[in-house]
Amino acid sequence: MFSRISKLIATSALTMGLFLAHPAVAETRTDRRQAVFTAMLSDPTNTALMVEYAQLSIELRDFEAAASTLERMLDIDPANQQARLTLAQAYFALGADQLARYHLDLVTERGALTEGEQEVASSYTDSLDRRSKDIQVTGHAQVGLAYRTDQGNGGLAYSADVNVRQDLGGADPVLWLTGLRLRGYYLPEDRDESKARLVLRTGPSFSIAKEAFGPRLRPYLLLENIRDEDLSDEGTTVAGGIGYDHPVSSQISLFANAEAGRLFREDDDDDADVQRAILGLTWRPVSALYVRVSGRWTTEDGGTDDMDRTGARLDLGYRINPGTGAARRDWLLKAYVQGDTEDYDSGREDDLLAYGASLKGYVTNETYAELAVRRFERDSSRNFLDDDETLITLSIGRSF
Amino acid sequence: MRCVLPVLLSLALATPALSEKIGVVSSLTPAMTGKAPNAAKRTLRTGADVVMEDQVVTSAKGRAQLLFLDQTTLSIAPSSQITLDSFIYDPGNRGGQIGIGLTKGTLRFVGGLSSRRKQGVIRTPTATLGIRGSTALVRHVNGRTEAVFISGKRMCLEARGKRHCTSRRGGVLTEAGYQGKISDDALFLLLERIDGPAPAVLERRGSGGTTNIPGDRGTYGTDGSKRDEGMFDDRLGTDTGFGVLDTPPAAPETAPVAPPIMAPDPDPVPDMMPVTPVIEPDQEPVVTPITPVIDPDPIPDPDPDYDPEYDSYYDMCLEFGGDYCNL
Repeated sequence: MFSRISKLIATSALTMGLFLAHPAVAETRTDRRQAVFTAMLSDPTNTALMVEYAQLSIELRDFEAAASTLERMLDIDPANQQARLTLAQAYFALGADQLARYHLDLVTERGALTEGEQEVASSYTDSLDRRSKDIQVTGHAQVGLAYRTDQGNGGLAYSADVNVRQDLGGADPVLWLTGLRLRGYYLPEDRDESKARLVLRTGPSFSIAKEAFGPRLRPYLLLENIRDEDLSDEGTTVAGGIGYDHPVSSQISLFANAEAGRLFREDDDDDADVQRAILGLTWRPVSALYVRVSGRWTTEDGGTDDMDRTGARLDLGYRINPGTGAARRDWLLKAYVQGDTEDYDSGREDDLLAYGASLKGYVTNETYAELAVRRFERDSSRNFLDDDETLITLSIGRSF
Repeated sequence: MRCVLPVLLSLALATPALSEKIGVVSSLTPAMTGKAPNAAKRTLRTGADVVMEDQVVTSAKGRAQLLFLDQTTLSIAPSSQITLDSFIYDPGNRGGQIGIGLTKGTLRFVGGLSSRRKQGVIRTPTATLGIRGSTALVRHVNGRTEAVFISGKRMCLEARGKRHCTSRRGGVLTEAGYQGKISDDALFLLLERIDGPAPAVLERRGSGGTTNIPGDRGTYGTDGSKRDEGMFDDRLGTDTGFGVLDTPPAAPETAPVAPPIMAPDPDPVPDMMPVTPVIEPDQEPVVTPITPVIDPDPIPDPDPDYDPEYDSYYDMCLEFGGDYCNL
């Protein structure tokens, strides 16, 4: 069922997982933290132990333990501004926004912060302002230059997102999430290759167990339109779907998605019923790194030829702290490889491969530059359909 | 029975005896008393042990924090009276349960390892609270219980035979049910009640801050878990279905047939040139009229299943290039 490429992706992910899952580092921290805790029980007012315990807890992403330790520390030393700032950040990470704001306000109003600390505090305050609204709007707009190495021509690459998150209220928060996403490129020298993809996904999101954190379901309506100058990929999909995500532990989260709908093409005879499913796992061995593996299935029934697409995808993301600078936001290094096999009823079989990497660096807290290299390959049982292309884009963008 | 015995044994071992230490007084201002079962009232000092069923009382100006063996932290406001009802903790599997009685006053409960799996229980004269995963502020004054869910998984309150729950951070539960989200002002007053007034001036210390807070500004569960926000978005512009490559039309099994690529003829003969037969010298020439076969359309006939979207191979050439342009 899976192509060789998909098997390769799955094997690579497993190997990397086993390699990175080596528990030595986490165990060392856990053991050390336990030792510090034991020492704290004997010497509960030792602030040096408290600082170390809080630091280790944050490294282990146990923000609640960090918060409780810093609370005890502030009870002993209430004027300690660094402890209070870190406590605000720990509460922020736990989603306890009102407590985070209480401590941030105290730090900014009554503290003597360095310029760097002030930037940290104000960026957290900005985030709190955004998160405290019942309707939150976030997004980005990005435009850049695109260059196709194989064709030797170029053009524009652009993308934009608008995400609206509305809190519908109640004792157990139900959110209504709407995302509008645009991706495309315009190639003036080869207009037929220009494309744009617009996706609207809207629907509620709620906790299955009525918990603040844990598995959530997200039923949604999907509208997807692809505009293609040469019409080859043009079409509009109207579908209903349901997403599921479950943060299982500090390192593992699971996700799944299934949707079914109708793909409308220019010629009615080409319309097709579409079903898609994704099943995946995200692994975060450390807070700065994620490794995401997913299996993917798509069927299109109708049109000129029924098609089944099966594949796998591996995503890697790594956050890099740029250190000091105008922007306090981490840079993002991403890489991916995706392999799919398309089986047509006519007997044709295509192996598709896409891989690439990107680096996104923030110039200010909102403005960023992104360099991306992507390659696409099609290896078909009909040799004349074989194709490949490399696309390099350099973009600037602004998030809001 | 075989399964139950080890569990009971484990619980028995994990449950401390009445006089056994279950935590310590980690800070205290200015004084607090404790009374263990079958013992006289004692003055608690910082670092003093607390034991099961200890009754802890703060004065009108007294505040304290208790640190338990499972890392639970209890902050107690002035004029409060609590009982350490139950405490089960197994350091091996980090499981257990904690139960606290709040007779009067205000407290902050920051759960430790035991309340991540099983809810921590706070019992007041009018209600029983269950807090999972788990930070809450609880107040019992004038015969009324108010609880604010700060973070964690969920908080439930049982009173008068009814059970009310919230998972909203900042959500308030009373005996009457869910009361909405606490206002900033009310929350800040409650915090001042527990922690005392914040200092007028904060100062830089040699220690106290950490720098390794994750920079992604996401929200984490109390177990450190994090939702994968980008799981559906990262692929949007990069998957194989939306590359710079077009998806070729659903191609039929036999067509279009690309012509063989032949080496260029160094001396091309026009197709229309009349063919001169080879005549042997001693042979009567046999003149055979040769009718040149002229294909009016040198391009192979389109397959009946061929995608009608392409009117000609010229269009295919524009679309796919390569061999189609040699036809």
